[in-house]
Amino acid sequence: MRESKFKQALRELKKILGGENILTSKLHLILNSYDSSPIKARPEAVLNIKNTSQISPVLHILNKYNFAATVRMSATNHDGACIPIKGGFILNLAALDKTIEINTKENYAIIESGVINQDLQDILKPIGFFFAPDPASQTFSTVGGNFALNAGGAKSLKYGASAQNLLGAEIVLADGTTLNLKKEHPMLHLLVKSEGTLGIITKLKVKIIPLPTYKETLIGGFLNLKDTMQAVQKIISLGFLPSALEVMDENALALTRYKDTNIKTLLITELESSKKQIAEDIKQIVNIFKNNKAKEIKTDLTVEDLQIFWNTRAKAALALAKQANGFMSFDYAVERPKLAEAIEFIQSILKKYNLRGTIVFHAGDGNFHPNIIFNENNAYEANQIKLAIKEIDKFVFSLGGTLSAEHGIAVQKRAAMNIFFNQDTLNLFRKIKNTLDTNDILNPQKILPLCENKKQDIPTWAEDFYKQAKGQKEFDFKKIKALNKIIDFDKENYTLTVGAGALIEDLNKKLNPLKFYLPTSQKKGTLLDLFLNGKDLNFADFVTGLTFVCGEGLITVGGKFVKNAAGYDLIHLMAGTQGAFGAPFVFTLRLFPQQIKSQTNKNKFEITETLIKLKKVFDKNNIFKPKIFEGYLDEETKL
Amino acid sequence: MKKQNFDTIFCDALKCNHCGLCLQNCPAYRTYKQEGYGPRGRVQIAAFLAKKKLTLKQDKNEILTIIKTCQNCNNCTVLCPTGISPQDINERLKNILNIKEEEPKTSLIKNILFKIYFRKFFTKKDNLFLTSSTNFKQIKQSLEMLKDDGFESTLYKEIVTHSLRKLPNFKTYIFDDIEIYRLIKNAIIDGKINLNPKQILFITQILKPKTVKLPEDSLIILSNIYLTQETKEEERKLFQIFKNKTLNFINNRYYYGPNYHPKTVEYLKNIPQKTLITLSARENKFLNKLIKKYKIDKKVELLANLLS
Repeated sequence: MRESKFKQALRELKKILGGENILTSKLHLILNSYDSSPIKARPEAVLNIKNTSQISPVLHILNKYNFAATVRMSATNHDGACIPIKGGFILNLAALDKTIEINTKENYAIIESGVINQDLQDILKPIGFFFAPDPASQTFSTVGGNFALNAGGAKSLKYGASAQNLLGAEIVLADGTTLNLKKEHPMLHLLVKSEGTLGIITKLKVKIIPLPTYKETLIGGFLNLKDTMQAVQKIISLGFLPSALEVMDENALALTRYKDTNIKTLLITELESSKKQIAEDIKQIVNIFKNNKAKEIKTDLTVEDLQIFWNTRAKAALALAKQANGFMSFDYAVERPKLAEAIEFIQSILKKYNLRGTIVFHAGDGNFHPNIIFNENNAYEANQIKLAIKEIDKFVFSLGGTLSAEHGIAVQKRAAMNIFFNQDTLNLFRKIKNTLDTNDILNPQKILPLCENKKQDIPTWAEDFYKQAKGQKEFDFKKIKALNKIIDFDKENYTLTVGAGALIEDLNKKLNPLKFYLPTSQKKGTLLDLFLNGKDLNFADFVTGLTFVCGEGLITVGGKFVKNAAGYDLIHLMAGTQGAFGAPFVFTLRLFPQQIKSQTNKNKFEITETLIKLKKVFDKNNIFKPKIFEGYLDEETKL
Repeated sequence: MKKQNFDTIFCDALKCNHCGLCLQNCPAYRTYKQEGYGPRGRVQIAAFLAKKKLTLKQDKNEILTIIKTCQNCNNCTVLCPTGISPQDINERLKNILNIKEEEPKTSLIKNILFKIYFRKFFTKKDNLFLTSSTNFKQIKQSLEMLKDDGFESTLYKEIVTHSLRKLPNFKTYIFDDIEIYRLIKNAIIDGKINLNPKQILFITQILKPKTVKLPEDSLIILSNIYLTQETKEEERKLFQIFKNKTLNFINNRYYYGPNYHPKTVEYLKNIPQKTLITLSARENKFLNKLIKKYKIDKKVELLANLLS
């Protein structure tokens, strides 16, 4: 039965793609069974897509015959995101590498998803622009892949990860519908950052940024990690936003001229701004270095000097890769002040389980990468890694960190989702997936854990809201106004956790004298209004954590960290739908050392068929802001 | 075919951790955009043969088409972090499948695009070109051939680790022999030579296309000086690949070789573009002569001069 369906599907696909673009030989199947992770699985056929318009009809056929479709481009991710676990078809989009438009007046570029990040940079550099996301795999990973997994990089402290540089996208859903989504569309982030499980990205509209006029780097050598991290802490808490803030640890320094000195860590700070400003900034940062017991401070670095420092990092990786054929890279993030603690713990765990590896980290945003090497044929070693990772997962969760900051979840980390998300949230994720992809064909069995093992506790203050959300009556948003207290104001980490009912005026009064600013230039109303009225386009970009109720229960996503790539992005969805999908209670916001400009938007969002389907998942009784979807939810009404 | 122990022949292929770093500069991968046509795919074919998950009986023809696309540029070997040579593994696959081809190693130097970058490279005095003794004669000849186009170069012969220490200080060292390049690179990573890994380059690394700002309304003239009937098959292939590379950044506006065509003058008069861009100085001279002689209203520029 399945075989005849497979043959029929191939026949129909041939009409669209041509026979030469469908590969079914054993050789090609085995060559598409791996990526940069240790996970392997063979597909049943490989489809070479040459044109973005082919994707919709191809998905239509695969959906009809119920075969899995997994996208593959450069296949360089660390978690098995492009491994066809359930078999089915591989969609090779690497040939979609055209740059469609570069607009230097309005600062955007429109590209196809298979464009390699470095190629885009090479096009932009001569005209004085750059594209901010710069993952370590920049030279060989595709922009589409970067966005699907919300990749970041060294520059993301200042310019944000991929998500903050997204202006729009063209996405094909599982049933073959093509959606053209603009920045203000509520579903944009949800679909783009879904690791290919909700839709396939065909085109992207991304932000491009003018190259900075002046750039300066300074280096400080420290005796231990603690001092270094204190210096980092101080730099951030004084309001500097360096374009890079990187730490080289002992292992990396062993390869440089610091080999036999007592300097154990090196802090590299890169500043971008005007010449005058930089001279002042450097004075202050040198002082910070001195106050934190730096042994060596260098400011007048030559280009060659700099290259040597950046190269040593590469050299460390090369030396590591030579030792074994298995390589695993993890990407946790914790709030900045807890970074030193987390790293010390992981170093002890690596010792305990006798594992070989190093820890590389972006000191600025609390993101760190334990890179572990092992022998692929050694089952004992593989098991040791599993045990070690389990311990690390639990520890990072206890610190309030995220499972994945920039690599995504895919297969390798899906089991750990049970630790980091509560039951209601996972159920909601699952329902979203089932609604948008009814036959489970798009990158199946990724992100969501296969089994559940947890009971959820509802905090006492939320019980009333929880009951209301599960009921039939219209939800009363006015009650949220009572939740106006600051729960946590982390001056060192530059985050604020606050009840949704807090007034912006009150917050400004408290924050502004201390030189902290909310990520908006709106001055009136409550945070809840600001979040839901959709007037500030960028506000949702700076909400890093959110707790809300919807028909599914009490949902918590995100936390006190700048970068996050774990689970589906519900924050933008909640903000964009203006309260029709549920009621937010608690926000975690990024704060800034200066006032930022907001982009205003007056458009109401457009109600589409897909959005109605999602509404039924979040709120089937239509009790949250019932007027918005009034008349759309009856079975018979069709758009 | 004799029975072969693939697990010993391809033991180095098992070291590959499929990271994909090699894909970025592979001309074949960039052309075909399919896993098999990149270095990672070739190494994995060898690895799967060694693990007995593939057999030569079953998949011979397909493996053949794949491994033939390698251009022997060795970019993959330069990039591989685990220190294996995908190009070398591809050679071994060729041997097993009885494909006999002469390696066009040194013909790289005659390549047109190579000349462009080479020329720019040698105007800087702080770079040094190092060559193995086996290639020395050929390289020297080739460099002399290029003197026409204004190249001047310092050539060093027979370089191994100990003699590199005695060399005068240069900013960059370029190698034309991948084995020696790897030797030196390993010595640097192990800390035996005090140099930065980025200071040493393999010859193909300077071939990487850079962006060129062309005058508007211009036409590229691709030379066929090196593409006569006596040109070897391998060189033709190379030419093709690098032509594709060039076309990537010149928007497909090109005319294929005017030199010895009888209708050249007529053609030059009729093309709409005002600026003609040539890749070689010899051709530049030739076209300039024609334009003066027949009073054609066109400008001729050398691509190398336009490189930013």
